[in-house]
Amino acid sequence: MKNDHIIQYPEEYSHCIGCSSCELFCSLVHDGVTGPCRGGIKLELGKLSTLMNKVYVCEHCEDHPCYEACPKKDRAMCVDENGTVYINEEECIGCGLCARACKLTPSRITMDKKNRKAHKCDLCRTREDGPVCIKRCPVVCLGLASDPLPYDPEKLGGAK
Amino acid sequence: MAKKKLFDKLPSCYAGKILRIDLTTKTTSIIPTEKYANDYIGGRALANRLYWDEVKDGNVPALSAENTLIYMNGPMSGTGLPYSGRAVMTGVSAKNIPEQYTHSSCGGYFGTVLKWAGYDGFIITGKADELTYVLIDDDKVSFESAEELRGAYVQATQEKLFEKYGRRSSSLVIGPAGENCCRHASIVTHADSAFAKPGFGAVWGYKNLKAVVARGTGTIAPADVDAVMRIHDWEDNPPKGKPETGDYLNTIEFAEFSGPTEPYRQVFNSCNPACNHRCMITRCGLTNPLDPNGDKVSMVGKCLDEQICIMRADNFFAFGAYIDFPRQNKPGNYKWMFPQVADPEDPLLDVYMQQYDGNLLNMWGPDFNFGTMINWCCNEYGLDKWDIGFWLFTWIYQCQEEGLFDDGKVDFGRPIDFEDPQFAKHILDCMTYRQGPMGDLLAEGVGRMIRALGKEKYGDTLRHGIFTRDGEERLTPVSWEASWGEPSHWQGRGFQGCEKNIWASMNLVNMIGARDEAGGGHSHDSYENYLTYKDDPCHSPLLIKATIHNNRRSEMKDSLVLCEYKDPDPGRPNLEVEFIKAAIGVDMTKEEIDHIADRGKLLERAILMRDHGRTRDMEVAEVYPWMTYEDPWGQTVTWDEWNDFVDLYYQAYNWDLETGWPTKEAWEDVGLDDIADFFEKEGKIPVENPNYVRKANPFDR
Ligand code: SF4
Ligand code: SF4
Ligand code: SF4
Repeated sequence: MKNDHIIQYPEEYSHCIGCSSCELFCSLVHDGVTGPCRGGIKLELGKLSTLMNKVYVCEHCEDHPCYEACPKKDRAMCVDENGTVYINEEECIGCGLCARACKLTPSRITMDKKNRKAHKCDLCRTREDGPVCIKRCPVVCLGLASDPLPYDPEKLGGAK
Repeated sequence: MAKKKLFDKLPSCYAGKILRIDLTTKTTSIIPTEKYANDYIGGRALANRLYWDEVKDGNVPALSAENTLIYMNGPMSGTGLPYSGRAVMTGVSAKNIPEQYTHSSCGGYFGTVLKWAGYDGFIITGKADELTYVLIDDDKVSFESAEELRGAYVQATQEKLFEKYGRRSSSLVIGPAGENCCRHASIVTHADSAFAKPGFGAVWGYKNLKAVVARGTGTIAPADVDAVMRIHDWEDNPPKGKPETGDYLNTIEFAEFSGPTEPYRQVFNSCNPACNHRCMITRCGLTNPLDPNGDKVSMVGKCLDEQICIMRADNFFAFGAYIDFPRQNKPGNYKWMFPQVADPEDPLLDVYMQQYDGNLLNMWGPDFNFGTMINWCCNEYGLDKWDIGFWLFTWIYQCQEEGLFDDGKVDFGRPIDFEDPQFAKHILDCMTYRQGPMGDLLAEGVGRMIRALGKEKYGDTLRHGIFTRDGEERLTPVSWEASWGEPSHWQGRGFQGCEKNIWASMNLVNMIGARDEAGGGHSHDSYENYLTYKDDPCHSPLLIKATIHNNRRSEMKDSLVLCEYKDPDPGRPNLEVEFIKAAIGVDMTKEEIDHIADRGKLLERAILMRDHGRTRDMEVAEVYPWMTYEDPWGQTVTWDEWNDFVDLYYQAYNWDLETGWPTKEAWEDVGLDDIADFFEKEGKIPVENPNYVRKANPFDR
């Protein structure tokens, strides 16, 4: 059982068009800027010949080794009552241990080396309208794992 | 009008620097964007000013070390605003006849990534001593050997660069067509975004520049994130607009469409970051035409490749019959550009649709595999699809129909066969690799090739078998060249058989530039206005007003830089005001925006006058002949009618009727006093000639 997190729907339901709205808006609502070292969700453009793009985002793991690795645990890296793993940026010292400890590849934590801060998905926990990446994805290819899926996995050939 | 000051300190939607790159000396230097952004905002207007300042004499061959190319982003790129990731490039075109200063625009991620690396644009001069790519890695810039990329296709080149610099990097590259200085060569980024029309790919090839790679770690910020959000909310659900008079396409009828022989999935996607417009159609899972046994490929296209594939332009979404696209990947919210997307409830719908019916072109049978081969070769070799699909291949087809190849003097090295995709590949191989008996001529571009073969026969022979809307045969030349060495686009003959008010307006736009203003310069006006001038467009001050409005929108969409499919949007007259406020944070009136647009446009005229001796006689002579052939309604213009129209246009701009040169006041009105002084010294400030009489028609056909 995992805590709630953002998922990318299978391409039979919606094909990620690589518009990068998810990552641009994630960093815009969190930091007011866009940039490759900001935000919690990362778009990886697929091979040009196939254009199968993929987004990578934190899965808010129950065991959250990133949190365990943080030397300022509970001040910088925190876990809230819903199991959402988030970073309190003011306290973050940019050591990068969390990013290295993330059990997924690529790491779901982005290091902004210039500013010595770590960035990751916080599920937009303080945002009234919920995750902005979901809202701004123009082709509805992102959703919450906990939501009833808007498609029938059977019909889609058993995709995730 | 006084110049509007946009800011005291450069806002953070700009990266702040413009990079000067000299390929000969392998050196770079920096120009602060601040020096220009206040007066020229960005993109094309800024590039025009930069070009004027940087290039003291631009009367140089396109294929030379001296030719200076300028790449510019706009203030919108990277801010998250929709359809704002485009960029422009200017310089001396390799394709124009004669070669001259022009511009091009392109989508993709490169512009945004370049801004994250810290640059709003770059200037390229010189010539490298070996095939080179320039790596812009934040503030480190290096010149790297591209020898191992020599000959690599467009996608393979980018994949190699991704391998080296990661998938967060982005590059502008040329393919083999550019390396071999083919004048139809494009500069491409990502799957299908290209600076194509001016043949800048050939210029890069001449300069031994294979690619520019950017990678950055910086940030860009719009002035108002909430405003950016609101603009996206609006885009998700735009109010319905009223159809306008617009760009009407020919109907190209065929009995049977030979469709794809395999199923594939289709998605609608966008070409640049945060664009929610989805004007492009990607077909996934197609056989690779250049490697049929290799992995399946996804092919990106817009309206263009549907048309090449099926040559049936009235059916914009014709592929609907063959698709199984994911439920969510529908097209985005187009502006009211084509009547077929008009409000179905509108009582005037029938009237709009009537206008839409064009004429019958009778081209080769629509064939998915033939069209797909053209598309993929253009993508991979780095060739301009428009010129190849709508000029080169229609030319071959029409010459053949008229029996011009019967004497065997033109030998393509393979029998002409429009049902064989390998014939398409053969022609594009010859052009790209300069091989076969026609290779070098093809690589010189269609316009120059036809001149070398003999224009009278191979360009001007009239093609039979094209009919007007009323079923009358109408004759157009076998070569669809309209002006400045460019094929017809919205010039009323050839592919886009629009009505006279549209093509007359578009020819004015082309006339004072050096290319069609695809997109922003499409002709737009209210339906009410259209009704007043439809029978006599060339004497309508209202149509002149609409043309200037469209010029301004074209200038601004390329300066901010936005997308031609969205700006101008008659459903959204405040679009530019809102975008500027959201990104830069400044309140501007539409008049103030127009003032910048006019400044940019006049700078282009200044460059054309200084470097290429532009005059009225030159430009009228360029566009007039094409309009003497009948349009789909059987319409033409007379010499006097056209010149009356030009008079109205020049007067509206305050340019001299005899020379076409702006008056001193015209320069000063847009704040270009220094350019007025320059032309005063050159003797190019016009003095009114009381004895001026219009020249007699030199074209007696
Ligand atoms: S950052 Fe990695 S390890 Fe930490 S919760 Fe997210 S996915 Fe798990
Ligand atoms: S849920 Fe919010 S924080 Fe997480 S990736 Fe999406 S936008 Fe970013
Ligand atoms: S917003 Fe949606 S379509 Fe765009 S890149 Fe993100 S997941 Fe893909």
